[in-house]
Amino acid sequence: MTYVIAAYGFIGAAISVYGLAMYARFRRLRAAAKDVSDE
Amino acid sequence: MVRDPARRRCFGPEIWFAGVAMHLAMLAAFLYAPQDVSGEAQRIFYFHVPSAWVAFLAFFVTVIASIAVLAKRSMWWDSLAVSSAEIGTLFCTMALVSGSIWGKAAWNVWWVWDARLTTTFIVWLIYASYAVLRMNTPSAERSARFAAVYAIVGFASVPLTFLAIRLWRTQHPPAVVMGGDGGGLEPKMLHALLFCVGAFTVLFVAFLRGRFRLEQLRRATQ
Repeated sequence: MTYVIAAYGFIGAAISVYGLAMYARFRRLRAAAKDVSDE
Repeated sequence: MVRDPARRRCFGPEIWFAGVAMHLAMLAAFLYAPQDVSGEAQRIFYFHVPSAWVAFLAFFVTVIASIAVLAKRSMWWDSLAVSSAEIGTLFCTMALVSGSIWGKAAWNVWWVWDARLTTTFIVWLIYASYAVLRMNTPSAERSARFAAVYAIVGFASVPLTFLAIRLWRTQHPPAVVMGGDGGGLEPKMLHALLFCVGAFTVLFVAFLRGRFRLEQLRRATQ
């Protein structure tokens, strides 16, 4: 069972980290784009 | 009408479908699918195979978009190619790592230089290098053209990986779908696998859309 938890844990962590990192980067860029358009 | 990338959201509603589908896929893998005679570690297969499937699907999208980049000289297609290649590399990593963990449980070794494992590792190296190539080419248009040619040539490794277990005698288990003799699955296992493949495909679509929008926003702000 340890191997199953390790494999599913790795996949779950990879998907979550990638998705959150993408979302955070998008928000940062969108905020920067809005700042430029407001000036 | 093309919407301003700065006014868009990162993910569309499909990310919620993907979240629900992934949780249901976990239930299918752990509760619906019966335990295999080989033991509990076989359950890794329900997320390992879909990871590999999505990686191949993503690389296929990359090669189609790359052909379109060369044919149409369009940066829209280049955004799609770079987005899909990155997601494909992520899912290829997941397939390699989950397969390695299963290998440790089943064969008592983390890695063997078997035809399927080696060709998958080569695919991973090719598409990881694709990202590096893009980072190190200064002009966006030149980067797009170089990367397109590289992705098209590199894609030759994908069908080779798919066929590796059919062409050579390998330590990797035989194909369970379209595998011929020695393949096949119990119906409940097949249902669980197909559901997981569907869930991963929805997740791929959600990620691809998000990554594509991110890429367009990045280019708009440069």
